[in-house]
Amino acid sequence: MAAQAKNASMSDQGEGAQEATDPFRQGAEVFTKFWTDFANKMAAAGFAAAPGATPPEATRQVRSAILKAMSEASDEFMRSPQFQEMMKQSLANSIQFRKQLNEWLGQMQHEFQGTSRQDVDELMQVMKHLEHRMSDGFERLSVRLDALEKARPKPAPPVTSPRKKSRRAPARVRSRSKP
Amino acid sequence: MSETEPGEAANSWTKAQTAIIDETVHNLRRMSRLPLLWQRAQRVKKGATPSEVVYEEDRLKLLHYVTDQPRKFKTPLVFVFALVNRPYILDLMPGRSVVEHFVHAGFDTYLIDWGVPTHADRHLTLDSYVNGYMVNTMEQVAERTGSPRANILGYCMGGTMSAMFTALHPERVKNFILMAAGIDFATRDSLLNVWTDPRTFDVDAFVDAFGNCPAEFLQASFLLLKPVANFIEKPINLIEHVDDDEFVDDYLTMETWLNENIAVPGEVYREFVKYLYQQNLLVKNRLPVGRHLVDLRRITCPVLNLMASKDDLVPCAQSEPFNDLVGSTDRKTLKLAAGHIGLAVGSRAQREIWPQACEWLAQRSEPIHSARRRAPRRKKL
Repeated sequence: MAAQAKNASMSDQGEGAQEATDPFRQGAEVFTKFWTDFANKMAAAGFAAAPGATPPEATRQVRSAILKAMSEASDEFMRSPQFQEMMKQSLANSIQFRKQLNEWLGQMQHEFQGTSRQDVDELMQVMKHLEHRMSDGFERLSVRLDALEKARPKPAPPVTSPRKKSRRAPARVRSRSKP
Repeated sequence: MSETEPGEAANSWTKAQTAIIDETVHNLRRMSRLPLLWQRAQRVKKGATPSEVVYEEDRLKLLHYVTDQPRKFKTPLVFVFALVNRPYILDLMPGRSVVEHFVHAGFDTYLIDWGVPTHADRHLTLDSYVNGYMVNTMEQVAERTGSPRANILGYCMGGTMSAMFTALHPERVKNFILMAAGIDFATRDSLLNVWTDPRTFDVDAFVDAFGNCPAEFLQASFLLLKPVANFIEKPINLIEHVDDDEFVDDYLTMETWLNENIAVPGEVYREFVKYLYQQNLLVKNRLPVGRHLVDLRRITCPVLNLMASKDDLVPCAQSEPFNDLVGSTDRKTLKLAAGHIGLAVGSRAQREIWPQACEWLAQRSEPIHSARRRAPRRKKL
């Protein structure tokens, strides 16, 4: 008996696990839950009108409550993993389509000995790479110059230093145009 | 009692019938105005305050707001807007303009218009904007005004970029106003944060395939944040108020702006989604911009953080932590019960938030007159 019961519970568990992992069942459950909740909220909203309200006013109140219920339901739905999965699939498809389109258009251009967008992009990549290498080089040079400046022994103060300083100082100030 | 009941019932029945007839007549009148909407939509004006372009670089334009009012403060104010929309939302119409508030308060005001990127701009990165365009613009402003530092007001994505700029170039910013800008992207309050989860959204594949992030994609994402409000409530609201000229003008101006989404350069979009939405590197002080890491603790200037508590795009949880992450001691937060756009153009924002923000900035800005008064005193000494 005990063994039978164990087997039964195991088979129940197995079915339960199968149910839990069945994506169709999961999707259906979420869909059912979503619509049940939504219908409940809508039904509750149907009685939201104040008793003394005129028909147009009552319609507005009920409409407002229904829209609020719809808004909450849609927000909940768009946060669900099912919606995200759907979005992921849809994006993957559009990315795939776009890639194929790009390839096809590129081939067309090349067949007519034209320049495709990919060619321009590759050229831009090369230029960007060059720009990075150059700016890296400049930065390295700048660092080395700073190091050299620091390492250089400070010159003895010249006799006419106050005058020289006063002459140099304005030259360092950036020229400013009036606004 | 039995005598009054039929009387009351008849009275309420009459009242209901009258209300229905009134509503029907009203609806007919509204319907008759609908064909005129198209004409009105053509007359929508963009921008309220007169401006001139004072600097251009690639697609960027630096606008300077021209005014007859005397300048009261030495330090200029620069508005930095997001890359996803046109910046005239900050100067939408008279009475609903953030720019107007600051111009009237006596600030020398500038605005960066990033322009509309083309496919050629797909390689532009955050580094190009923050360490390139923004640095050049600030230098230009400094040269024009003679003030080495500027006040910055960054809105939305522009706020996030301004925070990066302020952290990387703190010597160039005197006061910083952050307006509904995302800083801490760990929150899941906004649907955008949910949708950009790396398990759902492969941003690399997306940018590799599309180049720039298409404007239509952005528009659809923003509309889907509140589908019921955008697709059902909004049109109903318009029909109900179509005979209210002021409402219609506001509605059409707003819609014109909302539908004017622009593409975001591909690499910027990749970096923004990957580093901020997916890895949240800004709050960890590990966000790479070019060869540098953004360290928010380097921001030591006074900071004003403006937030909208009903913001569905950048929830408060995203911008609230900013004040605790910076090195500033002078920090303030102002919160308004409004949405993301309402913070800029809403009537409550015009009454409550912007006068306070102007006052905050005025208290921390050097008046032009005081500088002139001090000079003779020094001579006497």
